[in-house]
Amino acid sequence: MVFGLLAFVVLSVAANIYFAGSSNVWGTDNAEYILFNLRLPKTLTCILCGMGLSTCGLLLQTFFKNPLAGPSVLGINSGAALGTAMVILFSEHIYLGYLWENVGFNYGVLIISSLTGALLVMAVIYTLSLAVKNQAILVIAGLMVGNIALAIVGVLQYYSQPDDLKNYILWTFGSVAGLSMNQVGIMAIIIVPTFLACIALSKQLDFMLLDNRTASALGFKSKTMSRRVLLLSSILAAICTAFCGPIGFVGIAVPYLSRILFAKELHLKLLIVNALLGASLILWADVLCHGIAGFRLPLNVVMALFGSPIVLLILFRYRRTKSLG
Amino acid sequence: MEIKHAHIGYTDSLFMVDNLTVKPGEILCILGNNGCGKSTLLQTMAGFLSPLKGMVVRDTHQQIAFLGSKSQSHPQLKVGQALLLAFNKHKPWYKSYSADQMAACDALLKEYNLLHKKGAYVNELSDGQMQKLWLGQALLSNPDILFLDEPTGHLDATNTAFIFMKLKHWVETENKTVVLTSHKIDWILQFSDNILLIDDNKSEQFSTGHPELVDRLNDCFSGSYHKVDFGRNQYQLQFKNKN
Repeated sequence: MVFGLLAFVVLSVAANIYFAGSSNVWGTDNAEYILFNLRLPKTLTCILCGMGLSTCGLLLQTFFKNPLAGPSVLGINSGAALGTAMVILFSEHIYLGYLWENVGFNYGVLIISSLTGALLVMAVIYTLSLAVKNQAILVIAGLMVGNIALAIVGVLQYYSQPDDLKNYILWTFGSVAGLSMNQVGIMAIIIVPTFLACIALSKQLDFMLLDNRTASALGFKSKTMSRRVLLLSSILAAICTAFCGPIGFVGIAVPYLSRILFAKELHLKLLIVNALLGASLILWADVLCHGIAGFRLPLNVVMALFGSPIVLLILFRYRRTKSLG
Repeated sequence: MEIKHAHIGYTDSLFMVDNLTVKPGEILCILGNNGCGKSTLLQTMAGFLSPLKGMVVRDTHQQIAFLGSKSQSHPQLKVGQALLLAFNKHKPWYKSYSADQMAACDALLKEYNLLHKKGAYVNELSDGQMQKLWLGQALLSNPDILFLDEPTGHLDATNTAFIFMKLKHWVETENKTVVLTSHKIDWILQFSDNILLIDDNKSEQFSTGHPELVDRLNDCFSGSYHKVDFGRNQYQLQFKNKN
């Protein structure tokens, strides 16, 4: 099964590089330029983003003991969206210093602002989690906090210029295209170490599957781990959202599916399998964005349109196992 | 483990435990009516809550295991995985489980009559099966002190007997300690060494053979509409040795 998955990932990468974009470039003089400056960064973005979002979802589903949890459900995406909206919609009104003036549309500011938004939402949820022990209530609280963030985004939109508004709306459709190799590098520098940190914490993550007190007695450090998990998942969600827009679906569906397809695995392998699945999902979604009869569709639309039926299909396939979650 | 002048409760003191010592090789049972603070005391002894006043002294090198009355686990956790997690303690992230550990899990599942459920989700088990599973997991982790909140609440007579005999054997052969709450008083009188009775916001300690114990129990559990009589020496049950 794992080899099958690896083969599938390789196939996805190849398909993404070959098909995601106009298909008549191969063999022309521009092919090399397009491969290294457009296709390769895009493919890498797909992989990193898929890794980041699905890992974030897996962490949150483990933490909340709830397969409904995910960056888009808990309002982390909304928090990041608020941070980004601040920058995109109000860039002219705030002085962003030397960097902004000299580098133009600066991703550094965008990342920091998006991360701040995501962390703020997570901080609220974490504070609540100290007082409220019920995980279901926390999920609802996350939804509400996300709603507040989106409402503020609404206010910002209402008072913003048409051009800024268009930029923001386009950003919300989600896109893996248009990043330079440098920007992909920044993404990798943040996402890969965060992912490795999750791997290093895998045994502690396993404990989160158990009842909290039972796990504590076994040597689980509940408070430290809660903080770490929320921080790591915020970083992952924020960085992906800052670069690629609020991409939903991956964060919920992929961890859920990996847990069904690789039900015997604990976190060490599950994290890896999950990241691979997430990467291939976005790779294929990107192919579909470009591929169908010359139509181009935004990433989030493709994801919802084609991804959701696939999940439904798998759920029906596995309907015999009664309590999937 | 010792408790000295400890006031037990979340915010208001429910009762005070004046002086209680639990020694290795002993089963202590906390008895009392619903809502009297048994679970709160158990959590305080396990270190999840601090006493409002006074103190609980426990050797920090001692490993504990704790089993609450309601165990909330992840809905996508499988039975086999749940048992393996007992070996997760101090295990570095790159290390996987040894063949011995997996064999121990299988042996336990077989003994607890759960082997056919190994690939099932924990949440699919019946309440009783789940209770046996978590107890088995706690024993696999090989603690020095085992805290159990109503470990037999969902179990039938056969399984209750099985669990109590299992615990008794474990405590005696490995010199371990069990502290539990339970409502199965007939079994408790037979299997535990000491009893802490919580009644009327007071706690009293008895050894199981104490002459006043049965009268005090009858007092404590008799309500205004009914009378309880746990007659002395009434529960001399004989168990067949299956080996």
